[in-house]
Amino acid sequence: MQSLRVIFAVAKKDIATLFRYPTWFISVIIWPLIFPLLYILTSFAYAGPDRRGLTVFQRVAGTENIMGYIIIGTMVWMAVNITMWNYGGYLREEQLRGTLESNWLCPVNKFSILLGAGILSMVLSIMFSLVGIIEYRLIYGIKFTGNLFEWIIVFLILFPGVYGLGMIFASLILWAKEVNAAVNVARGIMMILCGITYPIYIMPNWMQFLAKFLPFTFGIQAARDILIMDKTLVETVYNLILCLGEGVIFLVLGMFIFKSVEKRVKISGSLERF
Amino acid sequence: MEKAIEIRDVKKYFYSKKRALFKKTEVKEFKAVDGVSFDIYKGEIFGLLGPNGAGKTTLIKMITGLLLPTEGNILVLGIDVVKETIKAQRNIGTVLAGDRSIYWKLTARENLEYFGALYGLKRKEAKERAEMILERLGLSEKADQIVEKFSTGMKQKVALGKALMPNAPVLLLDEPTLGLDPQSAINLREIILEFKREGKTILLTTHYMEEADFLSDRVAIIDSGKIIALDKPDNLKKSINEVKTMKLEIMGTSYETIEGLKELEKVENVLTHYNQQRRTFEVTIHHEDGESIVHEILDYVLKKKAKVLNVNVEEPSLEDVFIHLTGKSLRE
Repeated sequence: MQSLRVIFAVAKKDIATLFRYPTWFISVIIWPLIFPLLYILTSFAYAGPDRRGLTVFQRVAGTENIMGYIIIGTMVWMAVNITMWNYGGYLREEQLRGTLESNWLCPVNKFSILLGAGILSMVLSIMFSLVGIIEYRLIYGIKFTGNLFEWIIVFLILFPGVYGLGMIFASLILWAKEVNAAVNVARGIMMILCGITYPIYIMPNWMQFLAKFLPFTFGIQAARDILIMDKTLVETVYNLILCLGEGVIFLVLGMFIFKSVEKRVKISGSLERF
Repeated sequence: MEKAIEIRDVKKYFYSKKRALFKKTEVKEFKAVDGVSFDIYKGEIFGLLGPNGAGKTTLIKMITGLLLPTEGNILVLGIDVVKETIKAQRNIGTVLAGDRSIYWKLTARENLEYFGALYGLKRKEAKERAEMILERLGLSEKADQIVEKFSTGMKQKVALGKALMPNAPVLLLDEPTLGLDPQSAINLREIILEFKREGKTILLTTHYMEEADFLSDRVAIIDSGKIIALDKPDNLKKSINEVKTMKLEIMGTSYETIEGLKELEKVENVLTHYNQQRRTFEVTIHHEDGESIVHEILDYVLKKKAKVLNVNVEEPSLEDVFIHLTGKSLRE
């Protein structure tokens, strides 16, 4: 019970803080709209003036809904990206603000604080995804398949991996004190390996092998199966299980790294050091 | 007397590595706290006095469980802080130095309620306690304003309020009046005395000797990670009663001339502070001789064609105790 109270208190505090920066919602409206557009327009350009080349891409991707295909990939990437910037840098931000020690002085399992911090990222990810779906449905007339229950399942299955990766980052950054380089490398790797705008089998074998260690590779595939290819949860169960399974491994790894970094900073006294 | 905090042979060493290409990594050891032992009794205000970097904050952080000691044991109300950190933290309210320990984008009330939740208070309980603390600290009128609009003194009060949320029997206050204007500092000292009257045990670190003298039942003087004296403030001052303190304000002289005072017989310590505003040297001289040396010192200064603006022979303060023990000023 105490842990739940802490998790919700942290989330409430973060949401209240976010709402006091009045421009935050602009990115929620603009970003989902413009980010996939870059890839969509590039694909149109490569397809030629009569877009004949798109048929090749449609054959490779396994769907005629190329815009939807790209939107799903970029939406998942944005969710991971938000998590890494917000959640991955959470402890570092508290450290720079000077409030990390105040939190650490409290008689709670510090892991609850980290869990609570993830709620804001989750809320933002859901908002970005919903806004993206609404904007593409209304502006470009893209049809999404599946029902709300299936969409929620796909979203939930992605979360252990997203959370786990965020925890790994949050912990390592607390120790390494540098956010930007680490996040840029990780999101770059994910952008390439997980196939956010193309199917992974067009990559060399060794890259495909590496891609299979990332839960998002399977999460993106499952999301495409449900949201644009009209498949059922059962039909994409292989992707769902692998996404969830690998995500849980990320989560356990995140907890382990957090505990070990927590002990390390208590020895080195670097909790408040910039 | 019952012990609230027991500190037994506590050491904290930090290690820094210096790496150079093709060279062996050099490891440097820094002894922040070096074999400190003392007890703090229930219901007392215990002052920890020392210059910046003496080890005060490191010691407080070890008591709160933020830092692991390299060696030694720390017990808070009989609970081992290293082995049962969370259990020990339930008994401690802490204010760490500075006003950055609270959220500036939240209101005073939101800050207190947030930390109340982290200290395990139920929602209703946290609301009631926050209300009570805001009232007590004189923040009720501005309780729903964002903290970033507050003055430093008010922010410090919110930080203090945060430490009061758990109603813990032990309070650790690290430089609570640092950066406050004189009136706010006086108000805060009054509040600290109220906590004592309520029976709370308070560990207060400060480098303001008057503050330690005014508030503390007992004072420990820490320097370079070691406790060099521990007693009631009056006893500490009495311990150097044979040493007289003379304070001079001199104009039109140089550091070299003042250094020459050290050569005079029976002069123990000479400390100089240049007052830029008044363009004068404020010189503190400790000497063992009562009267005759005063003339000798004045003769020396006047011979150097300097102008003496003020001369005072004073009772020793805690700063004099510190100077007597270390040969340096708290401000150094």
